[in-house]
Amino acid sequence: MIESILRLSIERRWLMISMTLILIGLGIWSYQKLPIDAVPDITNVQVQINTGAPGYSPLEAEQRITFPVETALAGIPKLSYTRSLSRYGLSQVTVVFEEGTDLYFARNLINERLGAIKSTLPPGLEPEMGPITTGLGEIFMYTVEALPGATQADGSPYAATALREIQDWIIKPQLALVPGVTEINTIGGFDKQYHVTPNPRQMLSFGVSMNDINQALLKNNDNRGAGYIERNGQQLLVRSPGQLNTIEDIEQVVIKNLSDTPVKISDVADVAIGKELRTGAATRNGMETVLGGAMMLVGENSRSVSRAVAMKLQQVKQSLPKGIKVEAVYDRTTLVDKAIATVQKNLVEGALLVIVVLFLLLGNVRAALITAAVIPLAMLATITGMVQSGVSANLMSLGALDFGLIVDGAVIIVENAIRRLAEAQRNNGGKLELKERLNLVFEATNEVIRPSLFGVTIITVVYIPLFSLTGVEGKMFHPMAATVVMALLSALVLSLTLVPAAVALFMTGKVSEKESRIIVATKSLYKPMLMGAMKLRGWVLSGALILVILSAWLATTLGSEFIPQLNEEDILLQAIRIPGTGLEQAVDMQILLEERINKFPQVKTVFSKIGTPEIANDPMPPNVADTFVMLKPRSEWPNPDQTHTELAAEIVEAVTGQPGNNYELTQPIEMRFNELISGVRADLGIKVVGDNLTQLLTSAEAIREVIESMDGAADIRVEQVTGLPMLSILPKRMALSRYGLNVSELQDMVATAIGGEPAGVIFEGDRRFDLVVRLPETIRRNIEGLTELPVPLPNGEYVPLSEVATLKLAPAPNQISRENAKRRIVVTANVRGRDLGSFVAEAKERISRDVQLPAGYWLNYGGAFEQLESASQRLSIVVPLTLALILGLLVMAFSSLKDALIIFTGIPLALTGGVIFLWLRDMPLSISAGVGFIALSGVAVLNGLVMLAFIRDLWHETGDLVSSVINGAMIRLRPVIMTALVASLGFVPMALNTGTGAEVQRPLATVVIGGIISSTLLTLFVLPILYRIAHKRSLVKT
Amino acid sequence: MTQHRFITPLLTLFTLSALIHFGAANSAFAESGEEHGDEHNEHADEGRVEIAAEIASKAGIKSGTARSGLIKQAITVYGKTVVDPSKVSHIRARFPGTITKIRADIGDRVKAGEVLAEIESSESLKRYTLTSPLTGVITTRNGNPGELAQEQALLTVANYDRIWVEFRIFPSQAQQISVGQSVTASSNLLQSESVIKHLLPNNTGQPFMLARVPLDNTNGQWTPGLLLEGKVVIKQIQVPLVVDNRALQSIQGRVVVFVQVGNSYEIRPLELGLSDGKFTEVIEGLHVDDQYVVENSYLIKADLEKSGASHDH
Repeated sequence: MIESILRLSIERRWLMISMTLILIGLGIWSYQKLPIDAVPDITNVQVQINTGAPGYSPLEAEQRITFPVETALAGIPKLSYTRSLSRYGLSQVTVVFEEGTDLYFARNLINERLGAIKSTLPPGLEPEMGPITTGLGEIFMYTVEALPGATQADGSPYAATALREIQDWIIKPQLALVPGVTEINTIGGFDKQYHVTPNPRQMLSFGVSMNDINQALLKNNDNRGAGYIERNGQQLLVRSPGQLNTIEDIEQVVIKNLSDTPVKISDVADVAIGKELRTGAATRNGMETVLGGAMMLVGENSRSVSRAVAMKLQQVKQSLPKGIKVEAVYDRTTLVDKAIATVQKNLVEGALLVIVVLFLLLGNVRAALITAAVIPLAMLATITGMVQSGVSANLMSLGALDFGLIVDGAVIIVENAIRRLAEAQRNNGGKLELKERLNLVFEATNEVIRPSLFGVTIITVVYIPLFSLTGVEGKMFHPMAATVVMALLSALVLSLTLVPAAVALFMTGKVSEKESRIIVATKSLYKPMLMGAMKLRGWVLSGALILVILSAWLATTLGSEFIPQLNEEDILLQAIRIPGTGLEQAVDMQILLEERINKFPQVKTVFSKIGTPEIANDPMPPNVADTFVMLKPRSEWPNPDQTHTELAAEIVEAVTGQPGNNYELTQPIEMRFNELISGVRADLGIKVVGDNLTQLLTSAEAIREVIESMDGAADIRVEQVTGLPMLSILPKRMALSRYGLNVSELQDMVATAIGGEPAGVIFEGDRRFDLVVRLPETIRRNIEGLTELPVPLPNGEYVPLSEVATLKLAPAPNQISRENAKRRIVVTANVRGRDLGSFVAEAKERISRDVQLPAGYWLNYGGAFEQLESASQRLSIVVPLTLALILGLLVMAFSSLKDALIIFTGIPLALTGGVIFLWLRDMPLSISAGVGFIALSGVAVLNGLVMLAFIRDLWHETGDLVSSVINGAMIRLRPVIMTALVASLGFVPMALNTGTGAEVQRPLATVVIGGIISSTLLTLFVLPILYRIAHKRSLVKT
Repeated sequence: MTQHRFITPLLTLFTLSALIHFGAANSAFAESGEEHGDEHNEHADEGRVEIAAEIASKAGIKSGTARSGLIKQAITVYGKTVVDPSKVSHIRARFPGTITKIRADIGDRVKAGEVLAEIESSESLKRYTLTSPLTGVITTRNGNPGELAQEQALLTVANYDRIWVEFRIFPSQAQQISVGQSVTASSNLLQSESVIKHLLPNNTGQPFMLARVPLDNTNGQWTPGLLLEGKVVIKQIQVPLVVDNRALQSIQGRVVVFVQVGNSYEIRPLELGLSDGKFTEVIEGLHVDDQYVVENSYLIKADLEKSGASHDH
C-alpha cells in the first residue's frame, strides 16, 4: 500500500503540488478561526445555580433554598456530583456533569427541574443559572470613576451610588451586546434605592404600622391602561398614570386618615435615595469604585472577544456624562498576545534554526528547501486539525511542537534521495532521464520510508500515556499530545506524498552530494574516539550505568511541581480577614492596603473586589478581597532586572504590617484555576457527612486530633464553618399570644425594620429602582435600642420588642457546605516526607478505630490522593504498555528481541541528560518536564534505530562484526547528528526565551535538549559497544 | 554480561515510569494555596500584636485613658400627654336660667375669679355670675346669650401650664422603674426634663403600668394627646473605672479590650458591670490610667485572630 501511495505521488506529482495549495488555503482559513488563549481552559462541565435571598442567614438559605434545589437535581442524567454553599443572602448550587456532556443540554435539564420546584421556594426568590461561561470567562474588567471635581446635573459630586447607576444603565446595556459576551458583572457602588425610613415614635403617634406604609406605597404607585374610545372616527387611547416619580411624590402618599386628617408618608418618615444592603464592594487605588467585568461565552475566542469589548468601551465613553472616566484595568488580550508572541517566537526561531542546520548538513539548497517546506505545511495542517477537533492555540498545546522532530522523516527521505541521485549521476555521467529519475526517487524513498515511518510511529506512540491522563491533568495535556500527534501525522503524510513528488519534480539539475566540512571534521574526531571506547568498553559501560544511577538519584532530589506556573505579569493578592468582618470595615482596610501597594513605582494600578459581585460567579464573603496589582512594563521599573517573585515578595513584606489581614499570593488566572479545581485541594480530604452542624464539627475536630498525631501530617485544617456573629431575635411565644400576635407578624416587622421591605419600583425612564421601607440607619445600628423598638399590635396599640422577643448575640455558622445533597465538613491534610498511599491507609484505619461517629454520620475520603491513585494506576498500566508497544515495534523491525533491547537502552541514557540539565538549570520535575522525557524517549529510540539498522545490514553483508560496528557507526554519524541537531536546536529558543509564558514551556525544552545531547553521545559510543558485546557470542556460535 | 540485557530494559522501565509517576505525584505538592492558614503571625502569639505607630494612626487606631466615669442607664418608653384632671373645670349654671352675657370665648385666657358669664335664674329671675375657678384657657363654649342654661357645661376652662405624660411601662421594664426617676420626654422637635411622680397600674386590663410624669407647659408647647418618647434614667452612678463601649470586642466568647503599651497592643479580658449605651463599668481586668484602644479596636481583634482566617472556596 505504501508503495502504491508513493508511486501515485511521484506519477501524479503536479496533483500533489496542487493538493498542497489546497492544504495551504485550508490552513490559512483555519488559522482565522483558531481560538487563541494563553492556557487551556480546565473548567469541567458545570452549571452554577445562584439564588439571591436578601436577608437570609446561612441556615435559612440552606433550609429554604439550597435543599429544595439540590433535591430537585437528584437523578439528572449524566450528573457527576453537586456541591453547594449557603451563605448570607446567597444559595449557590454547583452542578458538575460528566465530562463531555453538552453544556446547553445540561442547562436545559436543570431549567426543567427548577421550573418544577418554583412553588416550593419562598415567594419572590428565583434560582438563576450562572452565565454560560467558564472559569476563565472573566476576560475584561474596567472601573467607572468620576474625575476630581466632576459634578452631577444637580451639582452634587458623584458618589458610589451614582457611578453604579451609570454602570447599570449606560455602560452595561451596551457592552452586553458585544458578540461573545454572555454577561456583564458588576461589583461595587450601591444599587440606587428609594428609602422610606419611618420614625417609630411618629408611627406610634399616628397609629401607623410598617405594613400600613408598605400597603400605601404599593397601592398608590401604578399606571393603568384603560382601552380606547372612538370619537368622531378618531381613536383615543385612555390611560391613568399614577406612578410615583420623585421623592416629593412619595412623600405625598397618604397612609390613612386620622379623624379626617390625612397622614402622609412625610408625616411619619423621611424619604431619600439610600444605599442597598450590598454584598460586595470594589476599590481602586485607595478609592471606592465600581468595577465591571465582561464574561465570555463558552467556546469563544478570548482574544477577539476582549478586543471587541475594549473597542465597544471606547464607543461607550462618548455616551457617558461629563467627568466620568471609564478605564480598562484588566484585559486578557494583553496576556494572550504576549504568550502567543512567545510561542510564535519560539516556533519561528526554532524553524529557522532547523532550516539552517538542514542547509549546512545536506549541502544542497533545493533539498534543504523541500525539507524545510514540510515545516509550514505540517503546521498549517496541524492548525486545520486543531480547529476541527476544537483544540485552542495556547502555551500548552503549542508547547511541545518541535520542528526538528517533525522534519525527521522528511530529512531521512530527502537525504537518501539525494545520495542515490548523486550516485546515479556519477554512474551515468551527467543528467538522468525523467523516467529514470522518477524511478530512482521512488526506489530511494521506498528504501527508507519504513524506518522513517517507524520512527514517527514510535514518537507518536510515546505520547499515548498523555491521553490516559484525566481530570485537570488531562485537560492540560490532551491538547498538547493531540497537537504533537497531529503535527507528526501530517508530516508523515507529507513525506509520503509531497516530499517524493517535490524531489522528483525539482531535483532536476546536477545533484552534488558532498559532505559538509562540519561532518568531515566530526567524523575524523569520532573515529579514534569510538575505537578508544571499544577498547575501554568495560569502563564506558560502567560509566554509563553509574550515570544512569546517579541521575535517577538526582531526579529524586529535584523538587516537584504540577505544572510550571505561568507568569501572568500581574499579581493577585488575596487579603483575608476574620469571618464576620463587615463590608464597610473591609473596604476601609482594603483602602489602606491599596494606598500602600500603590506606592511601589512598579505598580501601574491596583484594584480590588471585596465580597460577592452581582452575579455570584465567585462568591466570596465580605472578609475576603481579591487585590489585583497590575504592573507597569518592565522598562519602567527602577530595576528592570527584578523578578516578579521578588517584587511580589516585597509587596507582601510591605503590607504585612497592616493589621488584620492575611495574604495569599497568586495570579488572576491561577486563582480562578485553583477555585475551579477546588473541591478539596489538599492531599487528603476527609469529609464528615451528616445532619447536625455541631456534631459534624465535633467529629471533624476529633479526626483532626487523630491525624495530627500521625507522622508526615502537615497543614491540617478543619473547614471554617463557624464564627459569624449573629443577632438572633427569639420570639417569646406566650408573650406574643398575650398580645394577640403571631410569630410571623413579629418576624415581618423585624425583617422590614432592619432588612427593609421592597414596596414597589420607581421608574426613571428605562431605569427602575426599588422602593424600600426600613428603619433609619441610626436606629438600625443601635442594637441596645432595638429591644425598645415598638411592635404594633392588631388593636393599634404597641409593645416594646423586648416584651415579645429575646435578643441574643452569638456566633453562628458562616457558611454551610454540602456535597451530593448532604451537609459536610472537610478536614484536610497534606503529607510531607511520607508515601501518600500508606498515610491514607493508616489514617483510615486509625480514624475507624479512634473516632466514634453517631448513627447517620459517615466519612468520605477524597483529595489529591484520589487523582494520584487513579493516575498512578493508569500510568502504571499505560507506561509499561507503551514501552512494550515500542519494543514490539522494534522487534517487528529487527525480528530480534536482542536488538530491540539494545535500542531500548537509549531511553535511560537519554533521560540522564534531561535530568542533569534540569538540575543544572535549577528546575523542578513537573508534568511538563515529564512530557519532555516522553518526547525524549521517542527521539532516543529513533537514534538507536537509525544506527543499529545500518550496523546490522553491514554486518550481514560483510560478516565482520567489529568493523561493521565501527563503519556502520561512522556512516550513520551524519543522520544521527542531523536528527539530533534539528530536534534539539528546534527547542533551543523555547529553552532560552524569557518572554511571558516561557516558563511553562522551558522545562520541556530543557529536558529534550539535555536528553538529546546525552542520548546522542551515548548512542554514538555505548550502542556500538553493546551491540558488539551482545552479538559476540552469537558470532562465536556461528 | 548476559544479565545486562535484562537489567537495562528493566531499569529503563523503572526510570521512565518513576519519572512519569513523579510528574503525576507533583500534583500532590502542587502549590497548596491553603498554607496561608499556617503562616502564624510571629508577633500574634499570646494575645499581643505589634503595630507600627504610623500604620496605627493611618488605620485610625486611637487609644484613650481608662478612668472613672458616670454610668447612666436609661430605657425608652412611650406614652401620651393628658391634661391634669385637677386643672380642668367644666362650668355649669348653678340654677337653670337664661344666659344674659358670656364674656369668654374659646381660646381666651382667663384668670381665677374672673367673671365669665351672667345668667338670669328662671326661678328667682335674679342675675348671677359665673366665675372661672382657675386660671387657664377656655376650651369649649356651649351657650350664647338668650339661650337656656340648664344642665350642660357652658364653658370649659383648662389649665395647660402643667401637663402629664402617661408612659406605658411594660412588665419587662417595670422592675427598673420607680417613682422619682428622671425622665427626658421628647417629641419630634421638643424635649423636656421631669421626674416620675406616680406609678400606677392602668385600669383598662392591659398589662402595662402607667408612669405619670408632669411636664411644665407654661409656654404652651405641649398639647394633650401627643405621643412622647421618654428616656427614663434608671440608674446613674459614678463608678471608679469605665471603658468606652467602642473599645469592647469579643474574642472566644470573652469580652476584651486592647491595652496599648508603645507599639504593642495586648489583649485584656474584662469583667464588666453596668453599662449604658456609651460606657461600661469595669470590675476587673483594667486599671485606671491604662491606655486602651477606643477607635477601630476591631482591627486589633482582626489582627489577633487572622492566623485562623482563611478562604475556602
